[in-house]
Amino acid sequence: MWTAGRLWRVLMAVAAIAALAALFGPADRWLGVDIGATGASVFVLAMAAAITWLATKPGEVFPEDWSLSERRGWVGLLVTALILLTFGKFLWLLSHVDPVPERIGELPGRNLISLLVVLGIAWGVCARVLARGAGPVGEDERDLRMRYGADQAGDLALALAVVNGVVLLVVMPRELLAWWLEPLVLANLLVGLLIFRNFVEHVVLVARYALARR
Amino acid sequence: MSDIAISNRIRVLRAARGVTQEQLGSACGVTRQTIIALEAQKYAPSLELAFKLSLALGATLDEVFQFEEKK
Repeated sequence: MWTAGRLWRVLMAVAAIAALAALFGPADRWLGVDIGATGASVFVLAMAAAITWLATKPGEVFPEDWSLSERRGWVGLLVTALILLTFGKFLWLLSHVDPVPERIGELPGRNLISLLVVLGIAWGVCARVLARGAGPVGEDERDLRMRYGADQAGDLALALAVVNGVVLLVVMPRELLAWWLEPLVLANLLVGLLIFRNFVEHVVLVARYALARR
Repeated sequence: MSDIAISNRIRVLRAARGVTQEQLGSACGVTRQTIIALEAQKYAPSLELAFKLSLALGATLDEVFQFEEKK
């Protein structure tokens, strides 16, 4: 029997596999199929289906004892995880370009930047759609407490990452740091730090809600 | 969160007054999920919310909440 919950999990699994295929699929065709392009198309379709489902029957997707803030936290966790993966792939592509481009227009992986834009839009739409299905009160003191703790964890993760960067700058030989200190690489790393902070915040947020129910 | 020393009788008092979790939440400015967490003794409310709950349930603070000092 295909329950709504099981169908939702299957849809999320399909979206995740499609996103991985789009990001890490082989450059060559496989049995005549462009894995990357097919993965990207399936991912967009799965996202569209998920948003439509959320908009029409939010109660089927999330348990009823999950607040709007927790539901948003899970969506945020999924999106930031995908953004982090996309960003990792982008840095990997950048590391294979020699010399490092000096202008933004020369950066590799334009399709990945498009994917990031799609993810950002999907995140915004999901947040709005979820708010429509919420009760008369959107967020309350319990949600704010949860968010405060998650914010602190995100800040701590960011501080640790910055300290780690400082230690590496001091300890590592200059020739090994040359690539990392290229202006466009450095700029992307700083953006990556912010994405990482956001990801940690969402991990801690959903974990705090889950632990509070135990 | 089983170490919460503050317990409550919200579920009993709410049922006695025929109020739904949604209605009680709206009256106190909190979500239904917070009422669920409170009734499951998984959340200790702020003092302000405790007073609001007592008022909404038409009971005193002592009747709604109990504090047990853990040793």
